[in-house]
Amino acid sequence: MSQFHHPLLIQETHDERARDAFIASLREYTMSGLYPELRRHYDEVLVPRHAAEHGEPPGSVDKVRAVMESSQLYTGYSLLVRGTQELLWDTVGEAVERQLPALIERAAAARATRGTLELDPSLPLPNYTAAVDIHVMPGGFHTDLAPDDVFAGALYDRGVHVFAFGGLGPLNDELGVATAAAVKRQFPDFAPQKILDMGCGAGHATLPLADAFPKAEVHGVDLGAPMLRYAAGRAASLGYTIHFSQQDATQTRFPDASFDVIASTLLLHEMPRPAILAVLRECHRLLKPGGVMLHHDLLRWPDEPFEAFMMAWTTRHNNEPYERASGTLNFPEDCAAAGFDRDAVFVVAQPGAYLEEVYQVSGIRGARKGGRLP
Amino acid sequence: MAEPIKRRRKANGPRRPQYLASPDADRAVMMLLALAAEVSALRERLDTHERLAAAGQPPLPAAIDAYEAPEEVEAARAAARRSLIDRMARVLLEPESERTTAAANDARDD
Repeated sequence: MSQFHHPLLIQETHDERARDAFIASLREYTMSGLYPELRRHYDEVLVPRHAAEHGEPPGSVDKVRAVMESSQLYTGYSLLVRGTQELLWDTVGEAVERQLPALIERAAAARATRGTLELDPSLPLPNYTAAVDIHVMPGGFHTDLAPDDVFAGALYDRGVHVFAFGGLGPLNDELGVATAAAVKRQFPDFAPQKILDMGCGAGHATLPLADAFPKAEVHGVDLGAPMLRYAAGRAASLGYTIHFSQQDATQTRFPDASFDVIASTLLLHEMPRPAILAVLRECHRLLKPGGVMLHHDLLRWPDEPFEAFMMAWTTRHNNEPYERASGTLNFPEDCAAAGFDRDAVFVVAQPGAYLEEVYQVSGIRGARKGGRLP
Repeated sequence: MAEPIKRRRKANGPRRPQYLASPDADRAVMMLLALAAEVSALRERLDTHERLAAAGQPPLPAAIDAYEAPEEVEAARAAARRSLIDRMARVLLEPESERTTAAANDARDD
């Protein structure tokens, strides 16, 4: 599935596109080809071998790790996936770097046409973001390379499309469409007036919220200035009026009871637990009575040791140090600790738009005191 | 002319994990991935040349950059990329127990 050529997407030469295609093929080979093979090898070879030696199958994540790290299939798989990840950013990064001055100008011109962007250069960058560039993406979402920079946004927008070998759709909005659809599925008659997308990045999940609720005023916050400048330019060039601002989702500048819907898509698993709990408390403060909070993320760790081990792969190998910890979240209890009514928690199983996936979107409604809807 | 803006090429964070017996072997494999991407791009560029020539168009750089592969051409290219990756991965992924050819030959020589 090829990416939609919106006006801010980088323009690539024949050879740049061909390198991207090779990297996408590597991704597809490891994810669709090798990953199921790893499971088969584990079940058919490694588990019986472990059972023969120890009298039982590997019963914990640590035992699975020991078994897997002795397997060339696993170490080779891991090296290929890590190597592909580094190659992806450097390859797409070269194409972005080549045209960055023009991109910066195009983004600024697009932003001037509609929507708003409010940056806060004094906003402190949390240590957990400053210390680790998640996804091994050099500079992360926050590094400014030049005045008015959009590098991180341009890199991520093209890079994540190659990463997912096109599976996120022409606008990379597979997950955001599911987040927005989950609200509608759960509350068909809900008509929110103000919506906030936390950790909005390049806006891949922000625009679907605007599509789902065209009459609503939609805001997106993120820590990264170059990501927000790109997101605002991209949204405007696609005809959306969105209000982007540089804010920390754990402590925003919005007044109490500002929003009817607060959503995040794949944000929480990149945050340490204290920050996740702070996000939940901030959502509680920002929601209007009867409002809906929802987080589309991996909020439950699999019980089965092999699956849990593989789920933790990105923690060690893809610079996502908090992924494993996010799986220990007890969503109802943690929502209750943030002031919500735990009985109002819901989980929506939302089918994907392009992929054969069913996403788990966790949320809560009517949380503020006196705000319970019938 | 303004100084060109330089991207970062290294991510902040923990050291790259070690996969094979030495970090240098890991680095060599990662270099091979970059090289394989270039071989694949060269092969596709040659294919584009041939297709432009077959259509009576001079294969000049602007025409090559403007070329959009039709679906069946892209499918054939994807299959070729997959075959290249398969041939590279065969050796990388083979288990210790199957690296027997050389040893078996040595034994026969004894």
